[in-house]
Amino acid sequence: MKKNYFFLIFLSTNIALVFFHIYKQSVIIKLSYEKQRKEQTIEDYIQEKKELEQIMEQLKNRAGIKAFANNQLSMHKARLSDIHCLDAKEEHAISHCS
Amino acid sequence: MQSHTVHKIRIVMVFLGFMGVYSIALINLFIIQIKNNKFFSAMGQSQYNVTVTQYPPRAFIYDRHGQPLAMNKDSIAAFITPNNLTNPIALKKFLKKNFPQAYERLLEHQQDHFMYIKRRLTPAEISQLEQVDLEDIQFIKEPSRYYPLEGSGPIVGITDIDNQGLFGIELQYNEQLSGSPSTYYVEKEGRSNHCYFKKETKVQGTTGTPVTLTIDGMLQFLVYEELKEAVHHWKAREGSVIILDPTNGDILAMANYPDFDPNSTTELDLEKTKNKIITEVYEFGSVMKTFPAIAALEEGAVTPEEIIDCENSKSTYVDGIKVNTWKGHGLLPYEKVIELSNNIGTAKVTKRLGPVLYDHLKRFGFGEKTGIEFPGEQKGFINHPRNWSKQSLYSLSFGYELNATLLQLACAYGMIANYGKPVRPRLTLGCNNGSPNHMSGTRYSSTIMNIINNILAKTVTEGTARRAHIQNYSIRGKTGTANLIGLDGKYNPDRNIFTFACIVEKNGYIRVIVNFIKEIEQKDIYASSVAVPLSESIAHKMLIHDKVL
Repeated sequence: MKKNYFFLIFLSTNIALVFFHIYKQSVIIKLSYEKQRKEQTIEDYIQEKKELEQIMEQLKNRAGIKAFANNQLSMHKARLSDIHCLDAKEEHAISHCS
Repeated sequence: MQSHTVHKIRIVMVFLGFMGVYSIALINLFIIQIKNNKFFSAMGQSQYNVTVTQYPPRAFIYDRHGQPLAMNKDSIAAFITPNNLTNPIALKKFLKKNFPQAYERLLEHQQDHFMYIKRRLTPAEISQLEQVDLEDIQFIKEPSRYYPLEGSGPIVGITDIDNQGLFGIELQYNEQLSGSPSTYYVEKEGRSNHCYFKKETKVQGTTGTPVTLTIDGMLQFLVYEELKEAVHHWKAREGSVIILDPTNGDILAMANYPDFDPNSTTELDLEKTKNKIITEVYEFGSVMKTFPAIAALEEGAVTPEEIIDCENSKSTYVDGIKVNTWKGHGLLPYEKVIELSNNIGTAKVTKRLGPVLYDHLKRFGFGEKTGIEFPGEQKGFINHPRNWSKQSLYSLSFGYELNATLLQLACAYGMIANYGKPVRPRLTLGCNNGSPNHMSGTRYSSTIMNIINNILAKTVTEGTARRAHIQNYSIRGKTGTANLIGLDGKYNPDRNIFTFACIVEKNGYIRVIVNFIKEIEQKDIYASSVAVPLSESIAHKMLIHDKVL
């Protein structure tokens, strides 16, 4: 009787361990897949960021901005004589007005 | 008894039947597991175990303020699998009409597993391929480059179809920008084909390291626009400008025109891809007179006040050698000879120097590479005294028999701006970002350099470069108009190169601007009308940009 009981316990413990092992592996695989999905999402965001950066740089195109300033805003080349440096009094007066 | 025999036969039959089935199974197992073990295990390995090589993204190239000059973008490539086509007739018809080169390749490689139709497709080509709705045509993304700054092509360079540097900084720093690939051992998941069970790193690669240039992106654009306008205005063949900070050797702008668009490289004119400031040499003419003058002053062969007889003529003979000049002048103090760029006076003084002039030109770095980190730098040429003819010394005195790059000329003027300290030019900011980059020692005394700086200042206020004068700023410079050699090997007075080198200074802020405009339509004109106004308008933009007011 004791012998049978021992075999039963031994067998059921082994079966339980096998099932636990399978469960552990499936959890590892599930988490690994989840990690890979997250990595893929990061990749997608990096890709999107890269595309947006490129669009942003295209929008900053200096030649286009210059053409817009010249044609749409009628702006012209600045020379040093066009620039007036404010002295302390003038600067104070402007800041006071604003 | 009879039924017992039948029963026995049945048992034997069933036994034999089972034995037969088991034998077949065993034989099959033997064939698969033992006899063809290598074949099937290799097949299994190839289906589930894969070695993947991943290339890191190419690193960016930045200007000195961190603005990108070269960045990554994905380009689209179209491909087919020639040995596995579903509709070969329609595909061939389409390719023959729209992509004849791909059609030719397909005819030659019909059994291949993979073939590109075209790489780096244009948006028009992508929409054309998408609209045709052929299952056999597939697309993949490939890395390529985008260059946001107009006019930076000859400096930054481009990459080839495999994203490897082809010229310019892209070539110079190709390994640094590319990094190295990583290799992984992956156990694939059989069903989804997207996930893996296990990933092991076999070779750990390195990511690319960005390169930061000394170029100021905005200044580069401003200079490029001015140069472009000047080249169009004068209907010139080409022009170049360089701006150098002589205190640390940083090249802040370097523009060539005509140049090329690095974002559209389907048809490249190789001539336009060159950064001629570094890779081409020229005979600059009178702009070089500054250096024999420094040599003569240093050697004590002349003083600034000594009166030189310029013979009041545009042409004369010095020691039997004919010397021409742009305008006749009479008796002039030597400093005026330089200010007014008189060849006769210059030749007479340089004659006193003899072969020692060669050593002085070498001291300014002519005939030697500057060591700038850029592919294809030219070292230029100075005729050695042992090869001199009777004419050579006079030719050298006003900038002939000596060719140099515009970079060498800028560095030589940088040395004058530094009062004798030589400058080592640099195009990239490395670990010594912002720190001084002087070469050791002082090559000329500050007394001599003071004298020459005064002469160059008077050249702008009273001499040939009056158009470069800007109120409240110290501008010092020298003009040069040189004839170019024609196909017949003789100097052609109708083909000229107009050069101006100047130093702009105010309250410790100091820059060297050197430019040339080559081969304009108009005749009988000098650098004072062509190159000087260009430098002046560049100086205005630079000073406003740098807020030196």
